Amino acid sequence: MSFAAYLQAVGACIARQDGPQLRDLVTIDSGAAQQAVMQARQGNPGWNPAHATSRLPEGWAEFFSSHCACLAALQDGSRVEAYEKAVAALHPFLKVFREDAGAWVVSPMHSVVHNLRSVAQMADHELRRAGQRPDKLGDCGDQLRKCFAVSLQAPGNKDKKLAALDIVNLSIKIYFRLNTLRLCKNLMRTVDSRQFAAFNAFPAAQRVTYKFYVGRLAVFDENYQEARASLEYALQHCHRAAQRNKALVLKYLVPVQLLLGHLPSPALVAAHQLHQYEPIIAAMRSGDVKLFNNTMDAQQFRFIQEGTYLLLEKLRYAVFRRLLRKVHAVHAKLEPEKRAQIPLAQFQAALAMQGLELDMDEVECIAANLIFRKYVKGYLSHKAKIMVVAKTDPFPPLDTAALAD
Amino acid sequence: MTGRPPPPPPPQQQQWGGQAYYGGYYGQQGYEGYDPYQQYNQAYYAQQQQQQYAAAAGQPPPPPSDDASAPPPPPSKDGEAPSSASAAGYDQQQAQQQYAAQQAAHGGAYSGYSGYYGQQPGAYGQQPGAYGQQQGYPGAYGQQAGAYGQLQGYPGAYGQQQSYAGAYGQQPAGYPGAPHYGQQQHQQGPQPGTYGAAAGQPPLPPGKPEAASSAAVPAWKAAADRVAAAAAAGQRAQQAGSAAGRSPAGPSAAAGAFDDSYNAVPPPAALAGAGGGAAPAGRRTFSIRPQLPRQQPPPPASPLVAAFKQAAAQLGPGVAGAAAAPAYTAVQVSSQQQRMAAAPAAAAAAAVSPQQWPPALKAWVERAFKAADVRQRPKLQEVLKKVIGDAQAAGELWTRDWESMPMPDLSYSAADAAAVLAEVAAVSGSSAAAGGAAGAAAGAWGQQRPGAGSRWSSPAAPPSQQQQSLAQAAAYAQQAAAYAQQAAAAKAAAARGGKGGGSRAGQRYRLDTGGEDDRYGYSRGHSRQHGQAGKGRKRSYRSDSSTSDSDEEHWSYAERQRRQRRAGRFADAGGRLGGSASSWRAEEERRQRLLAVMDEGSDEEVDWDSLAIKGTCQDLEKSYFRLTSAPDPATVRPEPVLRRALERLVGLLRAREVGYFYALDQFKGMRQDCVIQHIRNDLAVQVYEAHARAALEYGDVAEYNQCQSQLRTLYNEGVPGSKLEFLAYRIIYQAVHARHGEILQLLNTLKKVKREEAAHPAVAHALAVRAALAAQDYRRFFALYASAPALGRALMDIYVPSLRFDALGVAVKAFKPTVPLPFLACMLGFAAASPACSAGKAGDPASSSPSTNPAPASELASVEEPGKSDAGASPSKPDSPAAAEAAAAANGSAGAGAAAGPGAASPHAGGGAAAAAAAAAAAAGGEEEEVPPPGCRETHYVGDYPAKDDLEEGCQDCAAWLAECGAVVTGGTDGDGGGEGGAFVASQAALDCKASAAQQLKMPEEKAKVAHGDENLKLEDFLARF
Repeated sequence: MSFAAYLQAVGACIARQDGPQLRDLVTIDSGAAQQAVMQARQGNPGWNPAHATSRLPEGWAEFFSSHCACLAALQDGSRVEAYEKAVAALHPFLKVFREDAGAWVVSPMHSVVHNLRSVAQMADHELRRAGQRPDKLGDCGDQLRKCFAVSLQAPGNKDKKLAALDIVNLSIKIYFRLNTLRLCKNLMRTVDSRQFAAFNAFPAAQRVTYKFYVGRLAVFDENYQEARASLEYALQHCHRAAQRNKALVLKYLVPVQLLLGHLPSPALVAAHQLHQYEPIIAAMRSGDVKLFNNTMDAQQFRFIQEGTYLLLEKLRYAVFRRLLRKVHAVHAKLEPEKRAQIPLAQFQAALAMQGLELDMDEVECIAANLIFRKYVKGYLSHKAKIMVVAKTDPFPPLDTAALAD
Repeated sequence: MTGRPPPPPPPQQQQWGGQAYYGGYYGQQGYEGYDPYQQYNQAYYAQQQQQQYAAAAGQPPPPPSDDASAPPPPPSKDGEAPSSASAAGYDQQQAQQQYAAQQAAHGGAYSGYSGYYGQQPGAYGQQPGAYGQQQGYPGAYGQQAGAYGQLQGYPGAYGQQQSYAGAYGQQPAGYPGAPHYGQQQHQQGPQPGTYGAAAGQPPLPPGKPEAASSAAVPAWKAAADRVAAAAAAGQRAQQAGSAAGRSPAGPSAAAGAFDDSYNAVPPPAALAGAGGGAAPAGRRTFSIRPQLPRQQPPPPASPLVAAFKQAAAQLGPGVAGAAAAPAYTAVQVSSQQQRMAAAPAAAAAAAVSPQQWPPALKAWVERAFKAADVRQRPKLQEVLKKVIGDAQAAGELWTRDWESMPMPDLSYSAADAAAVLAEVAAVSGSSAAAGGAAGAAAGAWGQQRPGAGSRWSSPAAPPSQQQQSLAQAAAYAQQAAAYAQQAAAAKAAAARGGKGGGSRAGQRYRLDTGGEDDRYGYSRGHSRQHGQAGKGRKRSYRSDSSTSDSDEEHWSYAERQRRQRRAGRFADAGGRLGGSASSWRAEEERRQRLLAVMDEGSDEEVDWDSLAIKGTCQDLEKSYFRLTSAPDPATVRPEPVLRRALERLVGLLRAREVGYFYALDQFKGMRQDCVIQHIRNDLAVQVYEAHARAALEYGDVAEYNQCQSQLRTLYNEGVPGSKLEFLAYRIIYQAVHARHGEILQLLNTLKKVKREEAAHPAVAHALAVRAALAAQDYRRFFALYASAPALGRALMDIYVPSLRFDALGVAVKAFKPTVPLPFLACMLGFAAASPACSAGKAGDPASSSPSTNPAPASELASVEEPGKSDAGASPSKPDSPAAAEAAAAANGSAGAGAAAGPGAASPHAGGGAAAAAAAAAAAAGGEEEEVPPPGCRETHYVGDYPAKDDLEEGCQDCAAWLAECGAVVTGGTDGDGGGEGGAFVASQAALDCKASAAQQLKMPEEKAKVAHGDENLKLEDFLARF
């Protein structure tokens, strides 16, 4: 596509207010745009996009001028400059977005903000390689805040609010990358507020992304019920073909479910390549403290990098409980009339068989914690070294345990 | 410091009326103003064109008689044409090289140059008429040129080791050469900024060890004396009514500042770096002061000569000659030679097409173009043309090392450089004339040497021409003084003029470099100066003129006496007053430079480091004061002083001579000094680390946090330090605060812990602490508390109260009916976990050998024993202490790291005995270091909640704490614990869980160690500040 043809297509989209097609034309991954810019520059080394785009309507002309300059800079491999151009393109676009009464501008907004973020990331990469401080992504976060504000105001047309969730998602993505997650809270509060458009009005893809992030953030707040709800929502609404996204959701959903006492089926684990959790699940099933500890040790760095370590660590008490439950079952068989009184020495021996050799004080400490956290109903007799468990339902469901401190 | 070459003079022609300006400027300043170029030329020639150079330089001192007859070179501008191209070319190149070399040795040079430019307005003050004057006294130039030629013979004799002294030696020579400025230079000397430039120098480059510094000191002294001499000359000049130098600053101010220059803080080495202080004025001053100068009477060229000679004579033949010679001579000669060589060469240069260039050159040119801004390209082209033409002219197109050639500096244009050199050439006349003049003037010089009057009024130079010029010099100088005093704007101008003079002085010191060995002397001399300034400042500074030195040996005894007297006269007069005045000036200049930077816009990389203040304060003890304005260099300590101050404070802390609040105050002061001076090296790390440790030891978590965050960035910048120790602290801190929103940061930190870092004992311990906290494993936490390395305990202290309270909650909830206090005391860390603690319980130490410890089969058998044994009351086995010891020994041999390592991953591994053993091993490891870590008072930090070894004591503490919490304790005296009645025996008491659960338990109130109020403020600490 020649540049003239590209501009013509753009002009036509603007004229008939065709948002989706304009979105495709505006994205930096658009082959048409790249080709057009490439051709224009090959034909004329001193090519100035500002001249070429001047025929477009006001606002759009400035936007496309900067946008094409951004593309040109990307083709030259200078990403930092490209980011500057992308930022320069943002401002005329926001002006258009503000002034245009039609909701069709929502679609190109998606492209614009996504362009901005990916160029910022590339620029940061370039800066990092050059040994400079990568600050473009952080700046991009600031720029997105402006976009968010404009789209939240939605001047002239309430439907323009529908651009907001995508911007929120992008922002959260940046915050995750920059490890500035406390900034997410405000955005999420806004999403939940009445000011925001109805959640179901947004495209499913955006909802899924948003819920995924909400779920992940809830884990950090130790709000596991909410985490489970959000991640399940994301999993259920995820496009069936989006296997990678599903696996990503499951990577965080499985530990949460484990924590709440739901073990995934082997088929699910196999289907989504969640093999790292297999030994954990096995340990949960059998109360194998040794396996659990070994897995946590061996996979420590991986889990830490994935951000699930602190979550998985909390499964330890569940594994202890499982072991205690086994001890309880054995003890019940041996002494049916004293089934509610589990000698701690037996628990200690069981732990020792797992390779975890603890003295009685430590065993008592674990047992006390199990009781305190409601993994087990009962009490300890220090004097008799006996754990007295409730006659009915001594091991309540895991999701009733006090997981959070 | 960056290797970036400093910006040479910006193009200012338009502003200053083009050639007229340059003509005037160089007419006036010919011998001093353009020194950097001369310098480079000189070095260049010494280096590259030795044969030619030798022809001039090697000539013996000519007979003293034939100078008068030397035809003065016409100061016509015609002479400039041939030289300009080649000279500029040389300058470009040489400047780059020299600057680069110099930068490596010494960062202050850059500012020095800026200072040089900054001072120019002062010089402009004189220029308008100067040119005319110059026309009127052509003879002076001829003479001088001749003098240079003659002087050239000296450097060789002067010797290498003198080169440094030469740098200073130059000054006196320069001084009389420009009486007008000379004094100002001296006034300028003590500028704190200046001083800081020298003082804040990095240590000597590795290539020059003691030799440099040892040479530097005496040289410095010599310089000091010369400065004194020059000052004396200045004084005489004043007395003679030709105190032109004073004019700008006003008599009294000048005198004050003048005194200061000799006796106040800065060592003369700083004088050499005077530019450093003057620097901030930057180019900006160019546009600031165009209007002032016109009224000022131009000092004619002849006084320069006269004064020059006079001073030279005064200083003694050898010294003065050596000192003065190199600066001018080499340059003059070289420029002449250059002109001769370059005239045809420049033409030839254009003829060689780029295709014939060596590839390295092509690559260099390409690089230069790439590096340059588009707007700079025309300029760059010009510069490159000169450089290449020059190389061609020298026949070095293929031999020069283009690969290592620095990029041409475009902040000044080739045109400027060319113009500068053109003027130089014009002043010194045609090459032919100059040759003759060299010989002739040399005679003048030699003749003058023996008896050259020590007074202006009685010059002993016999040749009539000289006398004439001297007389004229005096006249002009008088005139200048009168003008200056009359001038309405004298005061404002004075500051600037003085400044200018000062920086030029700095510039000039640098110029010199004595002997032939010193072709690279420019940079070398510099690094020496600075090395000296950094190291031997104190000594050299105090003993300014009293020590003998190769320079001084040339002086007669009487002369030395006189010098000493004179030096003594100013010894106590300087001090603070002058210091603050000059510091104000330096500050003003810095401000100006900052403004200039801001004006220039942000498209250029601003070297902020060059704008950083260089402190001059020498105090080891300095209280923190939160700055409310720009810092005064006089109150900021340079790096070497800071190092000593830190050493002192650490020593005081170790000796426990000072309290925390004193240390806090001192540390904050040091941190501030570091920040102000952009010190971000190991020193900064040491300061922050020591402060963080001191704060931890005292329990001042807020200060610790400040230090930790700074340390983190510093470590990330790659500055070495106790990185892992502080990583461990950070992990503990974040783990401790994980529940209060630090969990994300903790995760972030954990993500960055590398495997090999995790193996470090301190980090492993920290990770174990984190795991124990996550698991709420109280037993393990307190075991780790006992075994914490370094100051980890200080951070764990933060969490102990709430952890204990949580544990109490757990105990109350989980146990029924009672929990014996010994158990609780051990679990909550009131009593040391020992076999005695769990005596009467199933805790068989033999069974608790950790998995890392390969247990013998017999022990493995005993593992089952607790399981089999009656849970009720298995008495501790008689052999258990021995077994515990064995386990402890095995563990100890494995080392604390091994014990903590696996424990880190699996917090439940390892039993009580193992934990105790680990604790013992760690404690043993800690005791090996006799000296407390920097910043600490104690070798072994005990922590706020040390477990009591005695069980009963621990139980007492536990009982007291339980009472504070509101828990109910039964037994002891009459409870079911079987008390003996009467006295309360805590180890027999028990926590009544049911009764306690009914109570509203409350956490005992913590007293903040560093109160926001003054309840904890120690009066003696407070008073110690005064």
